[in-house]
Amino acid sequence: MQTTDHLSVRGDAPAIDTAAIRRLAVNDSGFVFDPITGRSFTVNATGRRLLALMRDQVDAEGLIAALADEYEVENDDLRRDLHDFVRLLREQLQ
Amino acid sequence: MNQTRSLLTVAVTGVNARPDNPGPGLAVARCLRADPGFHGRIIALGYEALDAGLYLDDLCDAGYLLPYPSAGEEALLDRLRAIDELEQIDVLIPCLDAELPALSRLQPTLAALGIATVLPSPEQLALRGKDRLAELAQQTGIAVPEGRRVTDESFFYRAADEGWDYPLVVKGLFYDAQVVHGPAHGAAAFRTIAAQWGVPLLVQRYIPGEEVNLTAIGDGKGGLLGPVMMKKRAVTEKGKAWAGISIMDATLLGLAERLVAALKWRGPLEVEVMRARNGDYLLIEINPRFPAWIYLSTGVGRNLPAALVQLALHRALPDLSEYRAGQFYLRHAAESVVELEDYEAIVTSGARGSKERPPLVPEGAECWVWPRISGGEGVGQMKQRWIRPTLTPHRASGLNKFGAVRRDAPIEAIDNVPVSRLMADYGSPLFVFSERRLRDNARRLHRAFSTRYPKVIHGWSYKTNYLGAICNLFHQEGSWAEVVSGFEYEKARALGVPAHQIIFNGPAKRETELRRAVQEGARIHVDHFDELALLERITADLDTPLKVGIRLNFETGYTEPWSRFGFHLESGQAMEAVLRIARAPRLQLAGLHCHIGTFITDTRAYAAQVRTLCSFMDALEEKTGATIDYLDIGGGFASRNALQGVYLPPEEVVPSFDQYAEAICDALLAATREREARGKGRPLLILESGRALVDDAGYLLTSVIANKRLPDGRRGVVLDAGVNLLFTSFWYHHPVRATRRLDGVPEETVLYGPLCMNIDVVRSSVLLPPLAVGETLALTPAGAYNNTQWLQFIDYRPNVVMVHPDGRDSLIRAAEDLAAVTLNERMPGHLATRPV
Repeated sequence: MQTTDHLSVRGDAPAIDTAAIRRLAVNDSGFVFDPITGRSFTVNATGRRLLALMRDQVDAEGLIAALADEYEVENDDLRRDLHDFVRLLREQLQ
Repeated sequence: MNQTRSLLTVAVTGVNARPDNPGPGLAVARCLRADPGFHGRIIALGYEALDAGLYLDDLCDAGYLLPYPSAGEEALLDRLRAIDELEQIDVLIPCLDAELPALSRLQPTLAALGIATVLPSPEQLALRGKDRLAELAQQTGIAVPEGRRVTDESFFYRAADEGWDYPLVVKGLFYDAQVVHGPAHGAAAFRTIAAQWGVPLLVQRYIPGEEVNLTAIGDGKGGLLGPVMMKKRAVTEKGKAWAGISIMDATLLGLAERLVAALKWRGPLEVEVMRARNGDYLLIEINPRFPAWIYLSTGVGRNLPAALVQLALHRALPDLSEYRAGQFYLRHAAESVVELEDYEAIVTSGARGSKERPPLVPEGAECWVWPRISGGEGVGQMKQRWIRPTLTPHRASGLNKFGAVRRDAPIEAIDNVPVSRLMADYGSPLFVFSERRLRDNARRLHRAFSTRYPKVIHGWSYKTNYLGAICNLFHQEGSWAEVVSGFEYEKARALGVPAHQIIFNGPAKRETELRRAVQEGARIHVDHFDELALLERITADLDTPLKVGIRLNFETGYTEPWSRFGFHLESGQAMEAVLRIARAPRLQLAGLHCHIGTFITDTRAYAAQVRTLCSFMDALEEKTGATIDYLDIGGGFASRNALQGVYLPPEEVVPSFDQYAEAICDALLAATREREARGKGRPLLILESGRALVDDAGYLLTSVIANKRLPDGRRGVVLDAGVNLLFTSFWYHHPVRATRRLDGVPEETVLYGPLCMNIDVVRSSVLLPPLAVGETLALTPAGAYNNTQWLQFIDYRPNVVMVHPDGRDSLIRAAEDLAAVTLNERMPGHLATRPV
């Protein structure tokens, strides 16, 4: 298990504090609540899987490897989508 | 009221409860709960996750979200079906104006599902519309404050000059009213209300006095059941009562009885009346539902919602004879504590409190719609298909009403020709036209008019789309050509249209162009006195007689006048032109032309236009002895496209050809009856519709070039077609359709074109599922004005193809290349070489 304390994809992407991921309440329907900011949002099944992975696995390359293992996806697409998702997530967690 | 009833399920909409402006739904639910005989379930139907009724367990047993009215009737019906399967709804009580047109039309379908409603017919609903109040008032002899439709904020700056003194009342077509005291105030109110409820808006003269209201149920036969009257004692800034008192006003009652009798109103209604200081009663509006103050009805002894349920189920009505004036009514806000999981249930599934959650997408539906969340943590034997991860923040105001997800199936083929094959053969982007649809449109238009009026001709509006194949198709269907420039005239002649079948409009005809048109015998419509002088000179030079038409402009009362074209009627300019033609030795006036505007959805505008044209025709014939052969009413029929700023979807606001024809031909037959009796015959009717014939036959197929994330979190998608090809993006919210079934959660998206210009936005907000690079989208309707107004800016214009009814397809305009674009360039010799 990786223990890096931040996540950065493609180097220039915003970093994420993994403690923030762990504080999120995520349920089966994809509803996510952040008890610190009071915000809530919805993620789709892929987003939910990503959040589950990010609780333990925060290294970008490790995440990409894990996802590539589970999903049929081009590496470029995966990197781009991950970058987008992380950026949105970061905005929500601020 | 202590009757024993079986357990019922009643669904109620309008369950929002913003303290300053609550919907009536919760008050209706409270009335039902207050009826000792009611032992049923109440289902709250909301539109936004923060609608309080979705969470108030003491009132409602379950809550569900409905799609916004702009998502269309089909989406609403699918959702109601899904909810009904779980809840077995017996009675539905809609409480919001904007949903009523669709639900009124759906009444028979709902009845077949076992859902009873007591609603007015679509016709009754239209008759009580805010913009039709004056007609209804005239019919019933009830006074109304003078009002007019306004589609442009500039009205407020010229209002005083036109006799509309401030203060004025500005109203949205569905909701909202503001009293404004000056031009800037009026314009600001216009912008605020139009942004929320679309255009047109209604402006009424302000009547000082006190407002009194009445609510009741119309029995559908002209009778009024259980009237309850209220005088507002204190109002919010929006004019909503937060305190009131029940009254017994015989004049108000008599007025409401006359209205309900005239309309044969079926269902609940609220009549709002202003009791002016001089004692006059002026009708302000009729709302087609219970008011938010309906709970007062329980206090006066006439529980109207409970009575409505009985009426819906054809059961004996409760005794409504009791009535107590002087019952005070006080509205107050209350707070509720809501569990996060309940909010979550609404946000993620659109349902809470139900036995199980209904599927948000009907089984097998070939569409994208509400979020569908499924699947476990996803580690299986087989690799799963990657669906782009999405994250959707929850916002208080929910979805943008104008960009609501529509339940449209993907367009996989156009007239059975697969989109994928068209794109493979002709590239992307690509315009495609359906021959079948074009012919069908032309025939439906012709049928609608020719079955109602004996002499009708259609002139194909070249400016709408002058690709030769399109023009010739309409000429094959019997259309003449309507042209507005020398170029279009030349094109029509080159296509073989005889000059006498060419209507030559336009404000800027050049002498050489007019000379040719005169020599060839085209039908010229004179726009101004300088053109008239030119024609006098040309006919003198050629020593030839010429029949001409003149273009007129005037106020119809329903549209903003297009006063820059033609001769103004009210000022006498038009008659001056008539007299000048009568004096000209070689000119003869044969026709009158008038184009009142574009995308006109109110058929009464045309009826008014025809009446004015006919009365002017009668007047000029009497004055000059001329005989008018034809009346040309121009174009302006709307297509099934979503005009920006219109709240309801096109299927609800755009009239059919039959509706246009009914209004126009009825008015024309009535206005020419006497002329016919005098043996003068009825004039030929000329139509110049363009958009309504070609728009929905045209598709723009485009491909995704790139996805990007915007700084505000929204998704941007770059397409290979932008405003350079889809010029009409500036005034339409073009529907965007997938060309195959797409999975994933829809996300707010900005669609950009390929230009390096900030204005190149095809849709500024639309909900779309994840789109991979190369994904194809179809934008339709796109057939009107785009192949004439498109720009050759930094890119070549693409192929245009027509698919034929037999499954073949033809290229009707080849994509440009460097040779085509530079064909007319010339290189001065000294610029032809470059230093090596």
